[in-house]
Amino acid sequence: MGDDMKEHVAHGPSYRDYVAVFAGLAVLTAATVALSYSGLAEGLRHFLAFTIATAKAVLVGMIFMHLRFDRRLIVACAVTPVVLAILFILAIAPDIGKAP
Amino acid sequence: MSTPAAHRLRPIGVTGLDNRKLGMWIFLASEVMLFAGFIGSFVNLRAANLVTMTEAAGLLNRPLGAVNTFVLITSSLTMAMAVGAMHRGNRAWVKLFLLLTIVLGCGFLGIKGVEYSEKFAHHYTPHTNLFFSFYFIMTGLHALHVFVGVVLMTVLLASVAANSARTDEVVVENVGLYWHFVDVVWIFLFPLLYLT
Repeated sequence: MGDDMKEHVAHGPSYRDYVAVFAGLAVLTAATVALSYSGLAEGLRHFLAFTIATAKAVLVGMIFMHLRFDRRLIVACAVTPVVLAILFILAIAPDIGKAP
Repeated sequence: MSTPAAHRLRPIGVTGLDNRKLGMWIFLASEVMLFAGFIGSFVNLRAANLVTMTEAAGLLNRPLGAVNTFVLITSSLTMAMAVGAMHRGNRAWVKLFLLLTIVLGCGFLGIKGVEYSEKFAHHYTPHTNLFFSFYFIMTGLHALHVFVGVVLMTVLLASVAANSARTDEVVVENVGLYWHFVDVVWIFLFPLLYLT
C-alpha cells in the first residue's frame, strides 16, 4: 500500500483526490461555457448544461463534502432535501408557460 | 468515521454522530429548500415570459460570471485542503488554506460588486423587469451567504492561529460544509442565469 493510499484510508480523500476533483470541476465549467456559445438547439443546450451542473454538484458533495465516506444518516440529510426540491419544482411544472 | 482522531470528537449523540455535524447538515437541508423556492419560481416564470427573460439574460457579463465560477470552485479546493490538513493535524497548512479561501471569497464578492455596478450604471435594477428581479434576489442572497462564509472563515482562522482548544476538526469541517454548499448553489445559478 503506497503512502497516498495509507493517507486515504486513514483520513478519507487524499490531497491528490481533491486536486483531481478540482481539475474535473474546471473542465466541466469550461465545457458549460463553451456549450453556451455553441449552435446547439436551446432545449439540448439547457439539458446538457444542467446535466453538467448536476455532475459538478455530485463531485463536490461526494468528495469535497465527504458524502462518499460519511454515515448513511448524513447522506440521508443531504439527499432528502434534494428529492423534495425536485418534487417541488415538478409540482409547479403544470403552471410552467402560463402567464402569472 | 472510525479514525483515531474521530474518537476525540464531541459530543456524540444517540445517532453515533457528532451533534454539531448533524446540526450543520440539517441546516444545509433547510438552505436547499430556500434556494429551491427561488430556482423553481424562476424556471416557471422564465417559461411564461421567455422573450423578456432571454433578452435580459443576454445583458449579463458572461465572461465575468465564468471567472467568478472558477474563483469559487478554486476556493472549494482550498477549503477542502484546509479540512484535510486539520484531519492530519497540520495547523500551519490549515491557516494557509483558510487564508487562501478567504482571499478567493473576497475576490468573488469583488467581481460580483463590479457586475452589480455595471448593471446599476446602465439602470438595470431589481425593478427593471422580472429577470433582473430574480437576478438580484438570487445572486444577492448567494453573495450574502458568501459574505457570511468569509466572516466565519476569518473567525476560524483567528481561532486556529490562537491554537484554541475549542477549534477541533468538526468546527473546521462544518465551516467547510457550509462553504461547499455555497459553491454548489453557484454551480446551478451560473448556467441558470448567465447561460440560458
